[in-house]
Amino acid sequence: MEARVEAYLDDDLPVEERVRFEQILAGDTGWEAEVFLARQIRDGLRALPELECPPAVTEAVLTRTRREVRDSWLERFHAWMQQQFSALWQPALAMTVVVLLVVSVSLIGRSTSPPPPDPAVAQALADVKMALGYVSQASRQTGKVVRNDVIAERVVGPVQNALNARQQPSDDTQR
Amino acid sequence: MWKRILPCALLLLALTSAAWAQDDITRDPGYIDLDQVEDWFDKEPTIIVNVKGALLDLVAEASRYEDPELADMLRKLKSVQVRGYDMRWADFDNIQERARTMVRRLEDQGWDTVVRVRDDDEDVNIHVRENDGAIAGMFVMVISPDDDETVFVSIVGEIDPEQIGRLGRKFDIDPLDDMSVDY
Repeated sequence: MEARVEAYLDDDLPVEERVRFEQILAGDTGWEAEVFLARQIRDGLRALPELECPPAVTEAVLTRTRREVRDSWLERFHAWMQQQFSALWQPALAMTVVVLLVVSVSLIGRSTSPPPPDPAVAQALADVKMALGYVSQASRQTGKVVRNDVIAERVVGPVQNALNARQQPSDDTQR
Repeated sequence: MWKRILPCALLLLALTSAAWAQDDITRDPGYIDLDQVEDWFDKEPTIIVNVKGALLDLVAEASRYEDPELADMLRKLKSVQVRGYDMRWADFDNIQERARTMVRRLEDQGWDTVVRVRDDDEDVNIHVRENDGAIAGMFVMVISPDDDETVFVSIVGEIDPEQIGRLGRKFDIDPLDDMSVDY
């Protein structure tokens, strides 16, 4: 019944219920006084002056609201990125790592284990090395002969003779 | 009719071109045909080496891992020939005389004699042929009956003698090591 008083004053009761409620009020002075009191309280509250919210409070509320909205947006963006990363970038990264591994292994394999040459090519390589060996040896041997024949005979010999010739007179004078 | 003849003609042209390119080495100023020394001896050669053309390219490629400097040098060469013979003392004078005749002919053709060592028991000649300011061929004769080793080496191509000497030192040949040299 008390809940109906407030609804009656706010004119929220359906027509049939409102009619029945007014019939009750007409026969019961207690409830009539209750409705009168409730109406005075309502009118008194409505007559109070409208208060403004202090600017500091308004600013604080707005700041907090903006932060919550921004944090919410960042969280959603972060979640979206994670989803995209796991969906797109992770397989791409894995594929790149695999390709790099394959290339590295193939390069290392090439540099460390050359393919075995054909037997005919290997024999030809040995023949060419032998030919180069002959040329080098012939050059060196002829160089030794020239050094021996020319330097020993025409340089070392005369110098030795000259030294001997100078030493001989000094030996004679010592005697 | 032409559809059948044309591929055959093209194939024939390609083959003759390849054969021409193969034989083209004989026209190189640094080339010496070592088969001409076979008449000097009554025995078959104990060493025959003929490495040229595509085989020489393959040899250069095969040596790339083992010795890059050797591979670089071989890429500049066109032909490497070696002939080795066992020689009796009785033939020494005859072979020496033939070699001198050949050297004179080479000098007439523009070859330079770099080294000539004539001893009682050995005869060593090194000749080079210059072409357009670069060495285009090298010819080495080692006639030494004492060691039963008479060797002729012909190398055709862009030659750096210093590089050949340095690289060849790695591939020493035993018989020449024993060549008698009087100090």
